[in-house]
Amino acid sequence: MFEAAVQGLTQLMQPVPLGWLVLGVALGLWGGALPGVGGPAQLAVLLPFAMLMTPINAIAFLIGVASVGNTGNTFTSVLVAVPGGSGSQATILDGYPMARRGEAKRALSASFMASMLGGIIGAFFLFASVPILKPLIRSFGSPELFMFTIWGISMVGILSAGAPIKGLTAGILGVLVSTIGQDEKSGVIRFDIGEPYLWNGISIVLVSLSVFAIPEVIAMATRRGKVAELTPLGETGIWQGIKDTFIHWKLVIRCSLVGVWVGILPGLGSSVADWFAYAHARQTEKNPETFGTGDVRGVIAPESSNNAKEGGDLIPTLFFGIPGGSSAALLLIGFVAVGLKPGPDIINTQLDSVFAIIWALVLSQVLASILCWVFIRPAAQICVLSFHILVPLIVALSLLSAFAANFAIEDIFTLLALSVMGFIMKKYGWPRAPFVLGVILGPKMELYLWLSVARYDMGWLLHPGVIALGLLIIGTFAYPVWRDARARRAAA
Amino acid sequence: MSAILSGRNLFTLFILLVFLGALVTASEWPLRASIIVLVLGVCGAGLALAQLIVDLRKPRTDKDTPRPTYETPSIETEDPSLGARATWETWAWLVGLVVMVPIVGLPVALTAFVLLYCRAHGGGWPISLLLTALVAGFIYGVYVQIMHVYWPSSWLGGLLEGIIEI
Amino acid sequence: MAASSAATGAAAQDYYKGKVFTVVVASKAGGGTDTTARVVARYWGDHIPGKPKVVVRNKGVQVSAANELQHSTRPDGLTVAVFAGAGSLGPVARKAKGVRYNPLDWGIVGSVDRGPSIMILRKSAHERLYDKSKPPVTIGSVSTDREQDAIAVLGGEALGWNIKFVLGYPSSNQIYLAYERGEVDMFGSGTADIIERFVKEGHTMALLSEVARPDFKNVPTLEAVLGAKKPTGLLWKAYRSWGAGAVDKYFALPPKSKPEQLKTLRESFMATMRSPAFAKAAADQLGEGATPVNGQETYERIEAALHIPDDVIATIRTLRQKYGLPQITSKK
Repeated sequence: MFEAAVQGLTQLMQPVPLGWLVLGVALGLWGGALPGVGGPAQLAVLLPFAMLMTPINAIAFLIGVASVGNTGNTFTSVLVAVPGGSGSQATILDGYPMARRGEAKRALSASFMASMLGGIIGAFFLFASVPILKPLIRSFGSPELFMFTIWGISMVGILSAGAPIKGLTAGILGVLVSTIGQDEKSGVIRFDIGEPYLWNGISIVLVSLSVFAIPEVIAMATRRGKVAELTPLGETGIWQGIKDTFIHWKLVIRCSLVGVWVGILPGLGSSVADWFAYAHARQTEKNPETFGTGDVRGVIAPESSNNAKEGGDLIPTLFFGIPGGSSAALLLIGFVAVGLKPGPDIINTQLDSVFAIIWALVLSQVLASILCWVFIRPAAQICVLSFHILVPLIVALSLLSAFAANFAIEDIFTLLALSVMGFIMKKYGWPRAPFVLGVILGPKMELYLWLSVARYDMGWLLHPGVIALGLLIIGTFAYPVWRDARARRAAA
Repeated sequence: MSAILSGRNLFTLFILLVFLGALVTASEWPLRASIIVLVLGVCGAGLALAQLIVDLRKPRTDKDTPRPTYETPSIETEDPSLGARATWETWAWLVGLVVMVPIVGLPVALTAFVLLYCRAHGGGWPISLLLTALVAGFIYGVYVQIMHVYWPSSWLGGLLEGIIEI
Repeated sequence: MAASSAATGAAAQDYYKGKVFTVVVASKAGGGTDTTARVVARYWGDHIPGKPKVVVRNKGVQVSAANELQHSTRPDGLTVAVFAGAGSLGPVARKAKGVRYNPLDWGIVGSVDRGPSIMILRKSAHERLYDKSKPPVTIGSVSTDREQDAIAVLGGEALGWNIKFVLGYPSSNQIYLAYERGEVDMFGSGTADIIERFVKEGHTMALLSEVARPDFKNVPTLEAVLGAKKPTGLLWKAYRSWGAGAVDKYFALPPKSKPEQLKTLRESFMATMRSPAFAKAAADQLGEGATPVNGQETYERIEAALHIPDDVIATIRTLRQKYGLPQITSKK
């Protein structure tokens, strides 16, 4: 194995593959920074070029493009509350308030450092899991995945602190919205109001744009202000952001592990890694009441998780030939086209290529963060632009992003309708994060519950994995209660 | 009476009606499709009703509405009337933009929106034209040249095509 | 004929030169339909006169993508959609509500048949397959319109298979994972790589093949397994008409497309299929059994798949109800 690792690194560290890696990272960051451009859409456009390359060049290029989108996403999430992609929605909750307080540079710097460390940890787990893959993947079936969604849904309470009834109602409303469209298991087309456009359901990109981006744009336009007007934009912050990440190194590791697990389990989807990590951080960190007001931990948690997920994602893709999502599926097509043979045999026949992929992942994360640091200062100036410049730009980006979700003009109208709802939710204190989480997790919760019952009747409740996860869920609720009780006893 | 018919209460009532409507619709489906809607719909309706009762018994203003800790403050402005007018005006811009999309097409509507909004709110011609060029260039460069997006035809586009054919 | 072909060729070259030719895939990225479309798209541009740039775009659910092709896509010869036969033709054949398209209106360019399905079964589940006193063999399914689902139902009716469908998996990939985890015991696949991988691991058997496959000579065919129990009458017709199994992944132009554009694309499609580069890529990514079918023959297969007698439709509906399979409707 050591020889293969060295061979993989040697293949990658040649001028031409490195050049492709740098280009891939640059394109991946740029696509990630622009809502609606990155992710599977970008990968689909670049795939034909990659398929003409030699294997090592294709690996370097594709990994560069595919693994750094979440790093690039952070710019718009922090600076203007527009979720750059599915992996950076939770970052808005604390990143944007930090930007409004003039701490945009600190937020961005912390997120890039967390992204880099999270990505490296994810790559490490990809490497470490080689000997234990099969039992690892086989341990988690539909019942266990259902418990993960329950864990996710239970975070609604955490995200609703201050308005619990509204939060839970918003979460349930989100799950209801997620049922729109064709239900595969029954064939029923639900809530389509006679419109075939709705048979695909409503894209999560659309939902998060509507409830986060547009209401914030309305607020900015209404007060005729800037992003950073609560406090002027500070001169310092980049170094502080880096220090913050190392101060909270335990949080980085824990949230990276959350991301790795979400990636390993095909079927949970990339949108949940950041939410799981954010909620976990809020549950387990001291002084959680500052989360949501511009706490840097609220940026570090999701950003380390969503990059660690990339390594986890590659595990079923490479070692089972079974991709967990659209981006992984496109990567798989590219790998096969250049001669790789993902599947259980790849460990025996192409281990050097596997290590080339792992090394490419590590280098991509480091390179991406370095490139982003270079752009922090100019990017942060967005916070002091006047509303008459920012508002039309954000609206244009949001509409383009909404359209690019499905290339359907009807999505523009849906965006408007949901934005009205998002605006009213913000105005009357209805939590929006639980609504988004409900839309993300709803389909998976229903699917895995259905599969569990269809396959095991009610016997799935006695699966060891289900029991263990149930205890974990109870434990994650009990821990803050126990911690607070202990603090009160100590104070008394 | 105005406290009962406040925007807050009307929105909660709207949420309650959404859940009730979902329950009625789902009752016509096979159980396999409806079970999750029925279960969650009942819970959601119950919670919405509870929230409505809480709000009716204890009317609140925007300022003392309990908020999730992460929610940024609501619309802040020194002049309340400016706030309401500015809000309606901003929504009018958005609605106008969305209405224009099927008429002139998304690229044209967006480019025009950027130019007009910037000019109307104090931007000089240089900055307005620069922003417009930026957006138009982005749409053309990324969406047309790179992603080869298929733009749905607009009403005006269809009209012009018909005139040209004649 | 030669002169008119030359005229078409020259005009087509002028028309397509410098343009973008879009292949819209009516499914999510990474599945069988998407992979087929991408492999074809990679080589197709070289064979279309004028060599346009070919791009691939995904469009989600089959039926909604089909509705869009019928009503919204411009018939300018620059956009072609790719469908899976089962997912797009089954609802039409069963006269399902919400279907607003008619594939017979489309310009059918051609299709790729990836090879007949082979039913994969966990060896340890084999004895349960014929013993109804034991827990049923679970079959993973995505849309239940596919030929492998039809084979399973036929096995249940004619051979007394003790089976239970577990449906709703989002994609074939998820079914393979579920099989790895022991959640399902049986599934069907036409992809040679998948079949080989599982069979090679030792605890899986290739139970039967829909029809004989040269790359899996040792696998018995369905008819061989049925033997004297092969049904006749409505059950057999229902099996044959189940999900339009004779059509795999097909390429279609929208209605009212110009005949000369259809002709150009049909010719270039078959030229692509015959090219050595495509043949190699198809063998790698789609399996050795992947076979092209020309536009006219694909159209005839679609026509046969859609004209199902009412009594056969009623039989299919009854069988679907018996095995707990959805009917695709908005009401009960």
